[in-house]
Amino acid sequence: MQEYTAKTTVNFPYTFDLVLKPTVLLTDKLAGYFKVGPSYTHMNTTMSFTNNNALLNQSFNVTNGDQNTNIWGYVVGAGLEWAATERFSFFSEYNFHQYVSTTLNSVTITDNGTANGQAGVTINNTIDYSRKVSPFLSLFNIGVHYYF
Amino acid sequence: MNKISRIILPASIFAFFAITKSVLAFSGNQFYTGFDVGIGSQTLQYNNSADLTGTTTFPANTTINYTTPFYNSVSSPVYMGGLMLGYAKSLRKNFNLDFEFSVRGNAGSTSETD
Repeated sequence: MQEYTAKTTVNFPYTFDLVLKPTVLLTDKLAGYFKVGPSYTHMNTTMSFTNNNALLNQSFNVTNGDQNTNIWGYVVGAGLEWAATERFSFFSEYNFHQYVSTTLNSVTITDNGTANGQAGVTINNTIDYSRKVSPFLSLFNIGVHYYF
Repeated sequence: MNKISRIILPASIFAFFAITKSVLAFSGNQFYTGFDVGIGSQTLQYNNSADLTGTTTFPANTTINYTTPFYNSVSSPVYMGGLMLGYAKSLRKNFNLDFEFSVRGNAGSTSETD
């Protein structure tokens, strides 16, 4: 078993997209389109460590690995739009987002201790834990447009 | 009542949409706004490593120095809702080029363990 378990949790609370959409009218009421453009998102990461070694009386310290950052990427997608009236339309689309690989805050773990019941057995370890993450989002959306 | 809800009402709705003019057939340029909701997956590929250096005093002073790589790919569901603002520019009879800005909120998180 490892001396420790490191858990990283990531979420993207909001995303901005700016896209070009070439749209082809298939019938009077139905259009198909592609979309492509840059995307910008906010990424929250939190990290927690669990010490798994019960054999040692350890001093186990971890620097903070939480991080909030903004990253760029791109979005591509395709969809269909159906005109319900002169003002409203419904659409459904698929979007794929990819964002740049991001190096998260590295973490230093100091792990010092003496073995239980084993006089003279001590350890003095430093662990540099580094993380790099590549995020992807795949989304199927439905929605409404109002033209004015 | 059954006949109304099963036949007449859907037929009326269908007829309404069928005879109503289409916004997509409009030949000019138009601004539009809207909203959407969606579901999908969030995938994170990790390329992590842990570099350990240390000493142990038993059976003799021993120096440790090794690197453990962790490669993981994890996915989880994500739910989103968004608002958009766009401009549809008519280039040809059946061809538009839209410019669209959207902001979306995502609910869902992905956890990875090394």
